[in-house]
Amino acid sequence: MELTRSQQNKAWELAAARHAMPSHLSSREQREAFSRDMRRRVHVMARVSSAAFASEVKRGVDAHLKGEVSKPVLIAYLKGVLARLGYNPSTGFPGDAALGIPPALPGSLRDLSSWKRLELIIDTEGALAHGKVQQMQDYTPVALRLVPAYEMIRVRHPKAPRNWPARWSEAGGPPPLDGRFIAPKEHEVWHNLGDHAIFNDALGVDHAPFWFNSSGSLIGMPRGTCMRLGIMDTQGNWAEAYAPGGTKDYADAQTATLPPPVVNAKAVDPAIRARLQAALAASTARLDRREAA
Amino acid sequence: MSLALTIEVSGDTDLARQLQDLQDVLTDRRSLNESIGITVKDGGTTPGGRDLVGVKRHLLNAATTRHTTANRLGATPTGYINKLAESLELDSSYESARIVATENVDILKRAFGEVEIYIRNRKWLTMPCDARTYGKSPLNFPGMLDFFVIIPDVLAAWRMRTKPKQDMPDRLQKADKPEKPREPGETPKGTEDIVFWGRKSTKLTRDEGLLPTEADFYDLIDLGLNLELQRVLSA
Repeated sequence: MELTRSQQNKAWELAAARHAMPSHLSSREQREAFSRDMRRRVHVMARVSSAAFASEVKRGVDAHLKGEVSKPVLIAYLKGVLARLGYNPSTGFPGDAALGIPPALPGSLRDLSSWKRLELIIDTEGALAHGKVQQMQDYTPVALRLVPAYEMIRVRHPKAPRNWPARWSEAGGPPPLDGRFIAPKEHEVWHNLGDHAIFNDALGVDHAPFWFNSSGSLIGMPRGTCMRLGIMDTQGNWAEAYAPGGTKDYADAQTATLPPPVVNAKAVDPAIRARLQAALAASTARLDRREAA
Repeated sequence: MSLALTIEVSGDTDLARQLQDLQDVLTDRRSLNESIGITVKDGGTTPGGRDLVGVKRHLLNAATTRHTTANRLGATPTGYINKLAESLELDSSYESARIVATENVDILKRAFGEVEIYIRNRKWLTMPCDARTYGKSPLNFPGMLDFFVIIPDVLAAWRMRTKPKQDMPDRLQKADKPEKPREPGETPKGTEDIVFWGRKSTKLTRDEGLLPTEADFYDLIDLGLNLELQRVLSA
């Protein structure tokens, strides 16, 4: 077992493929003005009218996702960019007043030069890229077969946590299992949780993180675990309360571009089939032996 | 930088022999490799009903027990390991399956042994020692910190001001140096409001529990193989 350097970084590739776009609109106005598809393709921040700053943020986030620059250094750099562009929380960028951009309280989330606003931008962009990669890899035919459900778990403990049971119910989630939020991957709840028509703080995506500053993470629930929990039967059918209500369009998940390989042993040589059966028996015996040990 | 976790199943073991054997039988190993990769990442249940925890859940579980410094300082944990877990990517192909981590990857090195970190030039490695600064950098506090070197090229510190520098008269903007410790290990006088220590190098101890054990990885690989063979034979 060893660690090796890798060139792979799909999260960075996804983020890098988006374009920066300035906009004087607030988050709420952008949701009404821009389509979901457009927001997926562009990196747009609320009340950022400066194209120069928008593109510097995009360039910085890309470099951060690539591991080339740490978050504190990037934030300090962006604060310097804002100063050079003449940004002031009270007056915004030069010309902002004419666009109707309201002044921001210095140090608040609306203040572009505040540490917490810049940190939120970088964290949200990074989390969205990682969430999208997770979705792309979790909805392949093999992944859906082996790990057919998600559990939403809390990995950070904010001072004022959101009311998850209420949100889960509002998003049409199945009954929580002993307080655990589990649903098939194809269940509409995963689509609804990030829908800003339902939740004001939603990011408008059908993958984690669903909300700004979310403390949640999605973790795969393997098929055997689903069966043990009683939400799936041995035939692979969902219990009634957990069955997805409709087929969701995950076409944008950009699953494997090549069709899944068709592999079955029906038509193969009996000798090869026997070898595969022997391999399966040996594997099961090894796992049983280790379990006993 | 991204780091890939590579597990080579080799040597004179049943599993290694079997994987080698299957290379001859299965001409398209994409599905097999993806099955192994997904199982290593997300876990699964053995035919005997044993739940195997995958790397992602293992890391998230490990994160819950690694808050010693945050707890000692009364600070909020940074979620460093959680972010690492959330950044895991699967890289499976005809040839192999790899788990790639793309965020906070350096901490993974601790699973393999002690890690020594150096910093050169005029920079310092910063170690937060106060709840206000835990998980942050001196850059978070512009105008609020005084920096001073205690032992040249060995130890430095940042002290928190009560008022930002620009609000003070010029003559008060210079940092007061604390007294040097007289005995090794003694806390220097005037260090009560030190919020960061600075060092040129530090050693991070080995953290074996950060990743599943090699035997657990072999079980996960075997289970991925098992599940794929079940599928092929039942198709």
